[in-house]
Amino acid sequence: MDYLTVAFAKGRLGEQSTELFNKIGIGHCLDLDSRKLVFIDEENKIKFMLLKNSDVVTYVDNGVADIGIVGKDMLQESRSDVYQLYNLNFGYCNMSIAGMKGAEVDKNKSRLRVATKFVNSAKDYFEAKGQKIEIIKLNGSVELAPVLGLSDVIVDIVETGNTLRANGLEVYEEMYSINPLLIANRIGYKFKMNQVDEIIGKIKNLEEA
Amino acid sequence: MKFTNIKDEMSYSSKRYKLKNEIERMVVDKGYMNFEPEVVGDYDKYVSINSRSNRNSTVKVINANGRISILRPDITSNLLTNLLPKWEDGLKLKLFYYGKIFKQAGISVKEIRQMGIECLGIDTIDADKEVIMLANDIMRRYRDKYIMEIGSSEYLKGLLQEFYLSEEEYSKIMYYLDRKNKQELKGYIKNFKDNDAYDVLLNLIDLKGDMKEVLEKIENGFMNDRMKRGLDELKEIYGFLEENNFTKNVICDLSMVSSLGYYSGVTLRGYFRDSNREIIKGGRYDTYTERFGEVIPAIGFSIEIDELLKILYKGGEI
Repeated sequence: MDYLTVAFAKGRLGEQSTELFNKIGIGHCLDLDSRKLVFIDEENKIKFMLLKNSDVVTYVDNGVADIGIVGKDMLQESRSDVYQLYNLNFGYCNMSIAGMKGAEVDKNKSRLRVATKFVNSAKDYFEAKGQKIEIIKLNGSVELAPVLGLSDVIVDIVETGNTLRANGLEVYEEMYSINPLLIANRIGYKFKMNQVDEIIGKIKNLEEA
Repeated sequence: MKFTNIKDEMSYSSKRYKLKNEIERMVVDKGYMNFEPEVVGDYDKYVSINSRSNRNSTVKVINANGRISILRPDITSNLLTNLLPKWEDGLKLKLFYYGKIFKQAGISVKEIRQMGIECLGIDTIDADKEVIMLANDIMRRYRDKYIMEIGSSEYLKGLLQEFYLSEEEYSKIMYYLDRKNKQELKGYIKNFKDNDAYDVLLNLIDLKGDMKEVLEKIENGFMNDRMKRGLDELKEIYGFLEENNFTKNVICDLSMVSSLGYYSGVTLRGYFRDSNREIIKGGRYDTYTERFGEVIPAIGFSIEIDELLKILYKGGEI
């Protein structure tokens, strides 16, 4: 039997995804507290895999997973052309530009130094605005960059803004809103269309109820 | 760990040769003649003809006199550049080609082997049927489980012309259709609500799956002449597939968007479950030929030989 393979992200998004799937009667096999990374729902013929947030798109893009749930931030950054079948209505936050509170952007500098994990997203956004930038790629604690003078601004996901405030930063501009999406491999979807559409249909009904 | 040795490589290469010959035999039996278009073309000419294609991924070569040439990124446009200036009225040509196309991949150049067929000068729906049948035969030969997907550029373009879109709007809508993101499409087209064709565009992404059901669904929706032509063509093809008992492996997708953007009638794709690429890709492209001089009926498809070999090759046997 051919299983539908589903990729979830570890962490908060994975918890929310599991909760959602459980509500529509799928994936009760998932135990996020265990250290296992693969779970099989024999009843619904679904194989789940738990991946690092930034790897979900890669697995779906390469057809190892048929579908997955991933934040729009990661999808945008990957520039992958996977299907974006459904925008889920939880976990909203913003991709934002932030910097030191009250600081003026130094107009004497021709290039704005931007520290971020989201290199492509930042490049695309500033390019569209005609702002020349220099990207400083970081892998974490991005908020520190302007504080320590590594960059002028940061581009990062802002949920509550608490981390920013705690470090003396503020949002300068909200770029776009981010929410999780149900994505699908372009070919896997063709072979599993009915099963995937049924899952989406159930999610839709749940949201509307 | 042992890596590939010469014997492995030879064995792989022989298998590729065998596969190529096998498919070649199938198309030659159907009356297709071999044609070998040039590898290097003029960059400016390519760009002026393929204004919507992605230029960044093309491989450019600087000539001694400073002009830029292009290593062919696809064979069809290359073949038309070669043939159409010499076209004679009433000519009917059935061609096949086998060769490499070139794409920029990161810092290196990717060489992709492609085989394909083109039917030129044959206007009738019979050409559509013959080409779809041939594509189906090739798919069927290598896997029991496969999907042939059929779309209609005519229907899609007919629908979009109702909205008088700017270049930017057009590509944005194409993007949402291609990614099947109905929610964001809905947000983007909200200003078109008063347009008679709004409902069809909004629901276009859902028009996929069982071909018969899809065709029934659009029958009574908004329709202009161009969309009607697309629908009629699909109906005729469906009837033909039904007669030949081929509907089992066929699905329809009316929001199918081609990256080449030059199709103007039926479009087709072929997929295997164990491959992550389109094995077969093609369609009717009459209006595209106009860019080379005059409108000539044309339909064809290409086969990704490298990808096909990758999934078929299990090592050892030749």
